[in-house]
Amino acid sequence: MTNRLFLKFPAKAENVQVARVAVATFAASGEFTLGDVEDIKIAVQEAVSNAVLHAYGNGTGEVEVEATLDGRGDLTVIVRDNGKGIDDLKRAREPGFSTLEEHMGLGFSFMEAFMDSLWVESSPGRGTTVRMLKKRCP
Amino acid sequence: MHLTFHKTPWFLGARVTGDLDLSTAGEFKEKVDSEIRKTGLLNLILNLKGVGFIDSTGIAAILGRYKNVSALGGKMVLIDVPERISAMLDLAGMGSLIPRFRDLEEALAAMGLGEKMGEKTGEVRPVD
Repeated sequence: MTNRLFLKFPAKAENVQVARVAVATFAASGEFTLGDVEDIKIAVQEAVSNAVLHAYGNGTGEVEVEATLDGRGDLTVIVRDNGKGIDDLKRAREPGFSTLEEHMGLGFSFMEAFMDSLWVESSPGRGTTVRMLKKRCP
Repeated sequence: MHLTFHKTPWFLGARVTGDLDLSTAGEFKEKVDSEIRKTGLLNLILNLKGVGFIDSTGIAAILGRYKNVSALGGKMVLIDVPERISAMLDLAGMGSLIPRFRDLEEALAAMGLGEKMGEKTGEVRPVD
């Protein structure tokens, strides 16, 4: 069985919760433990927060979230924006690096810690795509 | 996110319930900072029992309050921290930075406030 959820919304803080709850509810239809679903919630929150906080500066833009449950029961979540992109991806992924005041630069660390795999693609001026995989519970 | 404060002569108790995340961290910062300013209390005991969800922005807001209180010469501790949040604080590298205690009584004893509270009220009142 495969299933897919697609969300597209303006990059606003109040939509982050909507996205995390939607993906968590979607994931709960698969074979994941309650702990797994909580992990997924945090990872989605961090990925979408990054897009909302960084992608469009003070301007506006949209964020896309695509969640897929594949035939093996694994969950892939893709979070995509068409914003300014990340200049130095290696540095951005380092724990503790943040360009914002009173932020800890933990977003990517949390995504890595709570999901099984994390890929990030970004090019300046062309946006950022985060892809995360959570394997179904064995 | 909902915040309730409890004032004593020696510390400010704050109980957070609900989500402490990107959409609520700003309000949390503002309310706690303003309560500290208003009361002049420098010791902050933050009860996290009712926090259902926290993200890195929420954790940064807690760390920010800790830094503020410390800079003013006060102490800040966390009590009743749900297991999952505790694990996230560890992951955030805050393992030994902000002390965590099981309950108010333990926190007061560790802060050297237990006896003072006893003298004044004869009992330790809950933070609410």
